[in-house]
Amino acid sequence: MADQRTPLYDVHVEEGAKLVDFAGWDMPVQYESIIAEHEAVRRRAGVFDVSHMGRFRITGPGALKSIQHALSNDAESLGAGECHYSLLLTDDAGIADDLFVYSPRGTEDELLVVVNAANASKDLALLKARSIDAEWDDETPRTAMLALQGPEAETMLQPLTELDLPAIRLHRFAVGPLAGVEAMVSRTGYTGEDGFEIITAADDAVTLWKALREAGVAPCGLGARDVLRLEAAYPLWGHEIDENTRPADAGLSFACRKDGDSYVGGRAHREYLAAGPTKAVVGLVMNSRRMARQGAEVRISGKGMGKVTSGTFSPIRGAGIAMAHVDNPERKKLRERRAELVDTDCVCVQGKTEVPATFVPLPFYKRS
Amino acid sequence: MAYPSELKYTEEHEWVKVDGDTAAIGITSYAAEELGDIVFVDLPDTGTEVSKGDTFGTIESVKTVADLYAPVSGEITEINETLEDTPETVNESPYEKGWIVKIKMSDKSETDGMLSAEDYEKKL
Repeated sequence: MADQRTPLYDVHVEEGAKLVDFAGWDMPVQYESIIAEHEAVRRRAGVFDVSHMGRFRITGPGALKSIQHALSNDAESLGAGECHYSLLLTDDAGIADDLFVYSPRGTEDELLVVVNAANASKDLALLKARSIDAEWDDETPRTAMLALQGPEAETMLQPLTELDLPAIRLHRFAVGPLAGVEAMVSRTGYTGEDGFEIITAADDAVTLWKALREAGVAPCGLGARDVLRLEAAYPLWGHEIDENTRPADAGLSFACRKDGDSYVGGRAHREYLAAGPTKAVVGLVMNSRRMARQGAEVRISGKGMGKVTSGTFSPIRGAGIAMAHVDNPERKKLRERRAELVDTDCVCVQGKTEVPATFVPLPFYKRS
Repeated sequence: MAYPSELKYTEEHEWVKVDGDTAAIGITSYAAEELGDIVFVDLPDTGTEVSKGDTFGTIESVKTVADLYAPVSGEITEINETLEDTPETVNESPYEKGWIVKIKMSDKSETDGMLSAEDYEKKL
């Protein structure tokens, strides 16, 4: 068993979850069935325990300056109650992690970041090393985080709070009482559906979970979360992105500001973007219900051109889907490389298994 | 979880139902539960000869992929074709509608060493 448990561990056991070790945490991979949980989120609403993600707050006069130096997106653009996606880059623009940055008051002296569990300790060390006149506080152990996702998320959550949920637009957040406990509610997520992520005190997590369950929200595990994020073509660190992948390879240049000299990895990112990426993150649909898994070789006309980075079965497409890294020898812009591959046939080879597939535009699923 | 007593079981979490010299093969409810939602079952053609212990197919769930092992030697005489379109039948009915293949056994004594339902359950 893993050595860390979220404040909801006992609830997961009560709910009959199957638990797995994920980045050192005992996490629910599924309750009843990945496919049933996927459907709950696509059609109604589901709740995920994402308390394993790292939550770090930076305070002090140099907080905003430190974030601007450490991360790729422009945190100066964040007003009070706004958040955005950003990247923690290495010196040569490799992706050390992807994360969300929240500005509680739109001031220079306080920001919150939420990072991947697998990278939490590495990230905190990097963030500390890149900070001046500011202190980092790891709030992960004393807080919990839930993701409420699905087309009915807002209508199911509204009766539990006096916060005006429609006023919390995409990538905005508000703080207020929710089911009788204090919570920070953001309109963010990782499933391709509308929904909210909610941070609350560790001691209040069970109250909140039970209130959502009583409101009719389905409990969902990391298995369904992975299928949902892959259908929406959101990258996952350790799969589509890692320290050997740069923003321009993965379509993440939108989260990198143009003044490359002002943040770590920024100059290397700008140079690489200008020269053109050498690989491309692309989408594949299998020609059957089979799946290609991470590590499978992607062959076009018999020639190895890259590797599958994530693969699963997509209930929406009724077929295996995958994202992959493929070579981009002519260093075309990502958009052009993706476009020229669309409709091309390939084979995903893993051991003696060969799964025929076709390149498709991303994402695999877009909500209507 | 119930393990039908009329079946024999293997350590690879498969069950065998002997009918004359034919063995119907499937995976146990434990295996189906562990795999989670099954979305693809890759099966050999009928007529394929297998030896005990051979990998004769694969079963894929959303989470993972597992090999299917021949629990007995012989010729595959029938495959469950309904699994092509509805592989989830293995989750829903692992011992009945979710059977996987039938093998005409070349050596019936190979089933002698298999586990009873009780012994299989003890090993879990």
